[in-house]
Amino acid sequence: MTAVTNDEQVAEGFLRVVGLSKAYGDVRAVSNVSFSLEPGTFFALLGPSGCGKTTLLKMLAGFESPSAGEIHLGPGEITDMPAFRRPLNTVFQHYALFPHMDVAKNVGYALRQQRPRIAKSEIESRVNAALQLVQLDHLPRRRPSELSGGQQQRVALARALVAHPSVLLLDEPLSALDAKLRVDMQAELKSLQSRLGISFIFVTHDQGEALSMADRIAVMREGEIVQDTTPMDLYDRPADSWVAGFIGTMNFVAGTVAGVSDDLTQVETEAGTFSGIATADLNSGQDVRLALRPERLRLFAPDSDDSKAAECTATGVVEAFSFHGDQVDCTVRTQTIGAVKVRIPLAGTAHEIDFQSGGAVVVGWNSRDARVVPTWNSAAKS
Amino acid sequence: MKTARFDRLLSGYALLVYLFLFVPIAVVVVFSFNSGRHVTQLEGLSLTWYEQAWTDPFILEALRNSLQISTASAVIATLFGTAAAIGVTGLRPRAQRTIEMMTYVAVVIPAIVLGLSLLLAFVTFADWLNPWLAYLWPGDTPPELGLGKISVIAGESVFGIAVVMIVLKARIAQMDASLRNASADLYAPPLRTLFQVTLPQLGSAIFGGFILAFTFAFDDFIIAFFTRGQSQTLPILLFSSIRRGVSPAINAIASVLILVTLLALLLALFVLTRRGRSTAGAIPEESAQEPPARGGGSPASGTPSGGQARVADPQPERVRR
Amino acid sequence: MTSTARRGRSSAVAAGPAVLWFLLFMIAPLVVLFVVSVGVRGPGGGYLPGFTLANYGELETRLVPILNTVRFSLIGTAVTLVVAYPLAYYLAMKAGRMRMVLLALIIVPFWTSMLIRTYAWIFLLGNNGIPEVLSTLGLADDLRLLNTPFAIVIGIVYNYLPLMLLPIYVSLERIDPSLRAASKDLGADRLATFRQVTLPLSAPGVLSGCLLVFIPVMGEYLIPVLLGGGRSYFLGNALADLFLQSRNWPLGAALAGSFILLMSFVVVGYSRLTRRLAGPLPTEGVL
Repeated sequence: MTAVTNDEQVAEGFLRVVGLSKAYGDVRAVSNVSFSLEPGTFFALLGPSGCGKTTLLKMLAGFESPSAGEIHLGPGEITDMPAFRRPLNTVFQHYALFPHMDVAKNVGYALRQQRPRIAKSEIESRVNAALQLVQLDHLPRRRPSELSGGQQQRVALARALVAHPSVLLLDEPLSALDAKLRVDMQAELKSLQSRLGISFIFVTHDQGEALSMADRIAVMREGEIVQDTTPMDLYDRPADSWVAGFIGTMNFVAGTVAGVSDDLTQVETEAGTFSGIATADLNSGQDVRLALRPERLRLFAPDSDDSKAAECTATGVVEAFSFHGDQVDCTVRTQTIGAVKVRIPLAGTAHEIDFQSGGAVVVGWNSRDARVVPTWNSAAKS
Repeated sequence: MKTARFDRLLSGYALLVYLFLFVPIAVVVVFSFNSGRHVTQLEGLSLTWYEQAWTDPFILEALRNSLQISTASAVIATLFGTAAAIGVTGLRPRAQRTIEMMTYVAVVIPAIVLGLSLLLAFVTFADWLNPWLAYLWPGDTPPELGLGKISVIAGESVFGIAVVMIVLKARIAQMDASLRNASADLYAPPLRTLFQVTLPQLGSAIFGGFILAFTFAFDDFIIAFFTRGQSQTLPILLFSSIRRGVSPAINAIASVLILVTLLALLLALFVLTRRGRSTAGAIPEESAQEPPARGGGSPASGTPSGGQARVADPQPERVRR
Repeated sequence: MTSTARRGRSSAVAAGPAVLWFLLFMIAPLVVLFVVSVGVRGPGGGYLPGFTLANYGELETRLVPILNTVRFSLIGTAVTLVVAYPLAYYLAMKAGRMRMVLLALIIVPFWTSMLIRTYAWIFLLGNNGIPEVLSTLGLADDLRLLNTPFAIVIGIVYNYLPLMLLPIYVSLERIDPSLRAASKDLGADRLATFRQVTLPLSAPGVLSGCLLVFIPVMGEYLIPVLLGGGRSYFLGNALADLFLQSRNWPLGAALAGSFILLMSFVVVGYSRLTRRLAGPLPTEGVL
């Protein structure tokens, strides 16, 4: 096979997944997923509940065997390798710490499984090093039940890292922590990953978490990877209307493709023709949405001359607004394109605008800030 | 007040029921220390009847048989029952249901029906097999299959296996399935996972199952009554002495039996609750500021770009859970 | 795939001995029982192979013990229920911190040998027991308690109380206290709340308690022999006599076979009922 010769040149921690699928009876939990991962990548698998991201992770760890496809790690294939031989380790969603062992025993578990056996003194020092890594070396004799959630999280992390895995799998590891702790742990995980230089595969349903931590995000929907790219690109150029709505906030105007000029695509809507940058290959006449981020929109007073500067405008009235200190979020009911969410930084001229509910305003934007995304609906697909 | 009177009435009733439960047993124990010959008149404290029971060769023989039978059947029940309770989780659903059905039949079937079916089966099969054994046996005195301690052990362990499996099933259901995955993930092969993770988790339940199986076998009368052949067990000896007439020596034996059972029960309770206490330990002072895990924390305020979306898209997974 | 197949095989190996044990010492004997029940009685007792339904026809002559057993089991179950329910109510609602200790105390006598528990009542009900105490107090003369139907019912209640109490306790304990508070808040008094909220919600527990008592009492042998003095002849006694004394195995097997059939009807009827009531499993709270 030609693949073998290619494999021999790849790095130790290089993970390659080809056409991986998992079916339970007629239900396809994961279908035809492929990606490859350079060592040292922080990779997030992002998707709503039931999208197959956890099943995918379980196949990588070896807890589920795939119905089809291959998993390669470094120079070898590991598709049929049982979990206990795979050099990947997992941080479980609820940590799965062994309740009958103390912290040090839990962390040293992987080392005690090695044959030939590792000397006791070496196990001890490596356990201690792993605990230092997560700043828990002062509690080696505690039982898991005597630890707080954040401490359990750290023990789980140390336990998974102690045997130096080539890839660390994390299954929604922060979901059981409270808000403040979660933000702290995000930063800590990120810095840990860059210090260790190994790949982290991080499963989450929280797009904020994925955007702030990951080098690369794969968005999953109904068992497939819809888009696999950098966080910035994902936010800026969502592959379709579903992704656009899933990541951040988005305003949509439904329409069809009318034509292409330069790098702009014209969209014909009920409110007239608008232009925007297409994020995918589109055909003329295809159902699309014009997608507008709230922070790319501007608000003007109705009689203001400034509104002339915007390429597109829609007039309306303020329906609701909320104040966030540095910015204002408001919903404008327009006459032409429905309700629109607008986010305005308070550094500029916002004070000139009447934010009272019912106040008349003009929403404006430039065509280069608008995106044209293909419309996705689940009914049409299935 | 009316409510208070009702509560007092209920407490009084409860007291009466507890008296009803304990007075008979207490009477037996008290009269076992009676020094007189007369069963019903307390004459003074003595250990005469214990001494008499302890020196009676028939009673000692029966006690030894009972201990052998209940130990053997409890060991069989614990080994087979534990293996089956763990193994059954890896079988196909239909096989699982069939085995579960069998355990429930073993528990629900009246002991008398099981006892006499075993009697029929043992006698029938012994009649078939004995001539063959005699024919095939190389020596002069071929062993003769028949009723005896072995057949009692076989019968008692049917119920024992079922009891152990039911006790373990409950514990296995409580066990976090991801623990076994975690063990495999950390390089432990299946057999080592069994011994390092699964069995330690089940330890106290296995012990509880053993004690249950032991006491049921030790106290059983009916199954042994049908399958014992010529062997004597303590309950059967007790039964025939009761039918012959009440004697203070019976009180002594009964008291010893009560004592043995209570000790076993206390031991089981001790082991079962000790584990519970050690895992339910409170979170110590210094870490108390951080909330414990699995509290289902509230969603984070998130990054500027994600903050709003969270409000619009209220995390379906969390809601569904 | 391969690893799942391997897992399936080792699971089967682990479950194997127990299954084999059940097959050899429970299923096979039951099959033998049915085979013998259609066989012919041997000349000196025992069994000869054959096929006849005469044994089942002959069951008519054993109708007395069957009806007797059903009657006593129903009465015994009902009395046990009446005794157990208020206590379960007390334990679930009023016992407070003592609850666990009191529950354990219920189970303690249950753990001692049934033979001894029954023997204790021979002692108490015998002529030198309660009757003598009553007569010295001048309350009753010449009262006979032992070897009466009353003694049998006492024996049943005493021996099977925990089996009735625990499921009822479990179902009562599970009732959300706010439901009863809500009922009172909506104007129902104590009795109305009990009748319309507590009692219906504890029905599954009552039902499994009744099943747990009824089934073993039907197969009871010791209580009628020791406390009934052999006057009230039960199914269990009939079976023991047929097998161990008169050695009419085919007839005994037929009687046992129809007993099993009767029991399965009861169990199936129960599970139909519980599915409607969505109650706990019959073994719950007992093991």
